[in-house]
Amino acid sequence: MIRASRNLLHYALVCALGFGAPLAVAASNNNAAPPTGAPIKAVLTAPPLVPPATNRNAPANVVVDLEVIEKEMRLADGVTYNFWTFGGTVPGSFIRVRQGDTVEFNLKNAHDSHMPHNIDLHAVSGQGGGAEATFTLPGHKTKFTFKALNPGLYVYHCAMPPVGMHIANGMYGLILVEPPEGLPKVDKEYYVMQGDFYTEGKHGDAGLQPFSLEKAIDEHPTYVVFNGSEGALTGDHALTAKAGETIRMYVGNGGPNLVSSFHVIGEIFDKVYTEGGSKYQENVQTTLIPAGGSAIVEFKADVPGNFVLVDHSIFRTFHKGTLGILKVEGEKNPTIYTGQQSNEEYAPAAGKGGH
Amino acid sequence: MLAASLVWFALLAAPSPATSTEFVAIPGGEFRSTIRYAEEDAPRHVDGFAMSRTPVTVAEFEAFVDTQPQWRRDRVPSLLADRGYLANWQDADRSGIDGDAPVTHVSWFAADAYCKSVGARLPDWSEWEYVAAASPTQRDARGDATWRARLFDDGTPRGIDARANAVPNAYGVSGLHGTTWEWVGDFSTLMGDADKRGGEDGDRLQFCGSGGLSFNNRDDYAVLKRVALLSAMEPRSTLGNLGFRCARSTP
Repeated sequence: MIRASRNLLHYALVCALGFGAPLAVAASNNNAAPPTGAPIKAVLTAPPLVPPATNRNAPANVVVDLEVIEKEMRLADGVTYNFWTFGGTVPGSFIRVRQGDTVEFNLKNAHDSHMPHNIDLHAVSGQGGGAEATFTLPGHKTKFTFKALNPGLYVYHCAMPPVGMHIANGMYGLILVEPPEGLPKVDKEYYVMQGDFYTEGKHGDAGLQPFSLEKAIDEHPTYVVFNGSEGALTGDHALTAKAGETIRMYVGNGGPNLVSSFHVIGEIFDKVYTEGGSKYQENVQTTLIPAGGSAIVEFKADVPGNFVLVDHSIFRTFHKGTLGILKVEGEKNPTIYTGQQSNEEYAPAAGKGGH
Repeated sequence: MLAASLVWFALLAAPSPATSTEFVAIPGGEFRSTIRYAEEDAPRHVDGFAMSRTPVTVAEFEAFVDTQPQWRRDRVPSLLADRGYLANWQDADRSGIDGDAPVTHVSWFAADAYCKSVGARLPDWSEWEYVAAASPTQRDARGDATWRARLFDDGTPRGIDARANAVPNAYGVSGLHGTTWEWVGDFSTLMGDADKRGGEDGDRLQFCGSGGLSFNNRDDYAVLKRVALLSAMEPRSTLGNLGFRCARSTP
């Protein structure tokens, strides 16, 4: 008979989860009071959409229902992948609550899932960010409750072993904990999340592409994309705005490996809430988003044009997929940007010859 | 070549021909598990035993339920099987589904009772892992990266043994890497259970400091996934993609 130590194996699993629960920070006095009133069911949205602001001046009891769904979806033109998802999309459904809210979190694992899953929300102060409490078999549902102590934009992800594989297959998303006063009003809000994918075939190889553990360990992704697939934010799926509108992007990086140098070509971020926290930097060109981290970027779309979302580790953009478009329509404003004003030959310096 | 001469048949006493189970003799040997057992780093010896050539099928389990009606889904105590038990069957005593498919939606208790009913037992994890390390051509194919990568699909319809052209492994055993996961007899001794969670924080931290060391091969994600799955189970749990096969100790 096996004399395995159940403790040892259990610890191995727990360790593999990569627990790193955030430190509990005392909530401000305004939010220490327990919420009152009937529970509110959280509105969840698929990317690139964001749920409406909570518009509440007091904490509430909020119920979040999220289902894990494993499904084959498009990764690029002619390429599919067996994604594991929170809510059927990559990244998973966007969750929006308010600081001080008491959140009842219900995780379902679809009946046709092939293995158990769980969720570690970086917004949770507690063991495993909820991972242990949501260890969920296929066809089962689990529940735990947490208080949203700290405002910020947080990543959530599956933490079942092997964790890297669950994240590499798309099991991540964002949860926003609004500060009590809410975030300043803007005209448009979008949800963008980068992820790296590792397939056995090369970039562009057609058909259902299996996960490559070797490439994942070597950190050599085949695809690096926004919102789960190449082209998720281009063509008919481009983000849109009108000139003069203010735009806020909730930007996450699911990883599992790469750090993102997030940049929008032709724009300057008026504000960046660095690492998804409470303080903002102003007038930023490119912001670093760690794997398992986030940033909130805000800017005014001053003039019309196609503004390109990239990871400025730029080979990823042109060879692996990190390219999205923000299409801004409206009146040109030559006092800000003229477009090309001339294009002509210039005279060579004397004696140097022509071209 | 090595398996064919070792195959032996065991016709069983049960009334239906559907319950004839074919066992394959598995020679013992040294085996280095992907899982590291406490205070034991060396390869371990797996004694020779016999393993059923295929997973237990729906038809075989129907015959079992006929002869032991206490295992019908409408009679089984909830202590021994959860609400998903045989939930995919049309009736309590007839499945109405493909009889040749591996039976699923069965609890560990039911699987254990089935194997006893055919004069067998569930295989131990070490026996299961030992036989499942074999590809069609090698008894220990774990060094074959291509073969091993395919095992990520274990438990799904894309599993290598779920394919129409799947062939038995080097021992002559089929279906270990198919659509269904499989119970093992000692799964509960392998895994932490609910009682262990949240306790013994000192030890937990100590082990977290050397995370992953309890797996001899931390790249063997297929085994890691299987361990994660089994660790989530209770003996009364059932899953739509969890079946079992039986084993016998060599006399």
